[in-house]
Amino acid sequence: MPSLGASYGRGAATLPQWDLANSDCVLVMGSNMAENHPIAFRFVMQAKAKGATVIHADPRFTRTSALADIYAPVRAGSDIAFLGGVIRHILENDLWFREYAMDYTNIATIISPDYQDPERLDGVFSGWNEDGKRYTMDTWQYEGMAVPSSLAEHHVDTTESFNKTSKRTDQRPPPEDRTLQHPNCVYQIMRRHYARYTPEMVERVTGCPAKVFLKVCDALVRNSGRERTGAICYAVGWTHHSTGVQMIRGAGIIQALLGNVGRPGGGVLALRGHSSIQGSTDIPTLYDMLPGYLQQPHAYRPHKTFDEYIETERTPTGWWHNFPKYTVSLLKAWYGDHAAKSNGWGYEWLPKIVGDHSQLPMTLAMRDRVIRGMFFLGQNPAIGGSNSKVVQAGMAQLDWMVVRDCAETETASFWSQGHLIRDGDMRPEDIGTEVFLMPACLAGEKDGTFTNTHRLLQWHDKVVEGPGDDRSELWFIYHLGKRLKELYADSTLERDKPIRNLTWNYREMGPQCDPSAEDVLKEINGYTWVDRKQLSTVQ
Amino acid sequence: MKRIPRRSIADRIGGFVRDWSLPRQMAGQSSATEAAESRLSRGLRPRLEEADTVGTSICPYCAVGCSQLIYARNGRPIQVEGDPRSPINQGTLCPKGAATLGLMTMPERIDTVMYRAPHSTRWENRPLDWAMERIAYLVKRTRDETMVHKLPDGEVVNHSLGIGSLGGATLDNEENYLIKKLFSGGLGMVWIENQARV
Repeated sequence: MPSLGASYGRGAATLPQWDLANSDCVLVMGSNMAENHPIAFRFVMQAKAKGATVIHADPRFTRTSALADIYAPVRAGSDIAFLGGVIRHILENDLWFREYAMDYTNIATIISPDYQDPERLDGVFSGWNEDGKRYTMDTWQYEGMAVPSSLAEHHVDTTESFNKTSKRTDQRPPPEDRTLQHPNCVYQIMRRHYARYTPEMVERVTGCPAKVFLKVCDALVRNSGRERTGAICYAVGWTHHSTGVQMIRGAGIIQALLGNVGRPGGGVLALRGHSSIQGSTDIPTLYDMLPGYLQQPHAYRPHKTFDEYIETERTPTGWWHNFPKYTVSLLKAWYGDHAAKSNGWGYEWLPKIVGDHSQLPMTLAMRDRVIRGMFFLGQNPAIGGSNSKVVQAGMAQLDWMVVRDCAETETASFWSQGHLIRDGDMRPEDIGTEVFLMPACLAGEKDGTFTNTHRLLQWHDKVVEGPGDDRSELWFIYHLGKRLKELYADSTLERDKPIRNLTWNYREMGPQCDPSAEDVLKEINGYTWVDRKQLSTVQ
Repeated sequence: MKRIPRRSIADRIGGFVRDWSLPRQMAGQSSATEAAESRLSRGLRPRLEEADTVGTSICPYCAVGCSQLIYARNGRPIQVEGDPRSPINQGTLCPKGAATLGLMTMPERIDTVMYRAPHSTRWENRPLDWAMERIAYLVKRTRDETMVHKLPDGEVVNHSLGIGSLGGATLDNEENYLIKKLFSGGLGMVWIENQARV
């Protein structure tokens, strides 16, 4: 969900969980926090014991509702209307935290004169392209310049002119009207846009009685300002909507208006579901990013060479002006002595993506025999993926697949017990997929770190060996890589250079030759190339 | 678990008189310590005393990140509980986290490689080393068949669309790092994805 990143510049919770105890008002929305994150919910209850107002807005009356001071029932999926109503309430009644928002948000910034509201354009914003059914965003930029969003969001359809205007941000700050009277300043645009979200409209769309809705608004506003703060917690009740990005953005705007970010007890807390889901975004097994939110090179962008890639992606201001340093560090870590200034640090060895390679297109690529071999690493798409029958039909088209899990999952046994067999579409004899189910270790049976929901890295020990042939992912990937490097050792082909040049030196520990997780962590952390000294700061 | 032998009525009465707390409290023993003891409770030992190892872990379920202490005996886990040193859970665990020992020792857990040959109707157990060699061979074969070094216009793309990888949100940071490094930086795979997109 590229929303917190787009709003605040970093895509993660803005406060640690224990800081909820300092909050004066906690709004839980799109989550049954009391049951699904009970340990984190303790901090909400601590806040409540100190007098905080707890609000639960949800279609279901759950245990979270039972423990809340205010329960606001909403229709499933109507969250944008609810949050929009809160924004209107704050703006129209002039209840926003002026000193905070004027200095820490772009509320006074003037937007391009080419921008036009949907009121004028029959329901769409300026930049709508009817043929392509998509927006170009040139008219949405600051007047005379564009400020690049955080790098992770760059893949969201940016145009070339965006790149050119974004280079101007170091020449002067964006134009502002601190009297907030300019018709195209952010404040006025927001007021026009949110005018429609009246309490009556909120009641009509969400089903939440206007009286209850106003009680929620009042509690949020009352608990903000110089002396007080409020927090918003959400979970998959927002992110599993196709409009999840917009819901989180709504929460982001509310908290920016109320001055609730970066102060004790204030913020937006994403309650993530998997043990290291934040970590797997930061150090991503995602197609469009390299570790540390660097862009994966794209064949259809100006990314041909290292210099072109850097020129396109670097920004003149903000922390991301360090982008070239991060890129060289990564290439050096991956290709070692083979990466040199003369060959663009081995940049061309990185594969270039050609489009959307996320899970849904991946499923279709399996079905259409573009993908012929698959690894399923602790994920069970046969029941967890969208349209499970298509997923399983895709698996049946593969030449081979490797499932790594601690039990026989539905993904592993799709060929004998899946939908295709159950519905009589195929018999196991018809399915040519070669399946490996590799037993996997759990935390406690391997060393490593998880990144929790508020981006805290925590180490877990290997206390016992996993049973039998159970191995960690680290073991599997390391030994697979070692074997592949041997298989490619004699290749002279240009295309095999990346695997041949890949640095792969980790200490092997114990009777099972586990690669040292500490060595890998040290590489993630970064060290100086010459004397291998671990870095203690980010520079 | 030790079996407690059934006692006769006389034994029970005798035991009750001996263990009865009230006279002992009146004799000056503390109700919180000596007077609270019975013969049975005197013989009870904590399960953790049997452990020969203890280590720190992080709960494998959600992303709240509760710390756990895993106690083991002879290389097998015997107890998993909340770590009181954690600022997140301060020694507590939710019902799911408290059942982590059950996850580690569940009967459904597999401990050998299971292999299903093309068109076969059954699983076979295979040695780990054999499976690793076979997987490495298949990866190389598919990669070599599908690798594209340059597009027709001459742009170097160095990618293979023939192999994919799905998963990672339940894995360690170090594991995700090596997956991306080998699959993307080494093999040129582009279909690399996990649950975190949503």
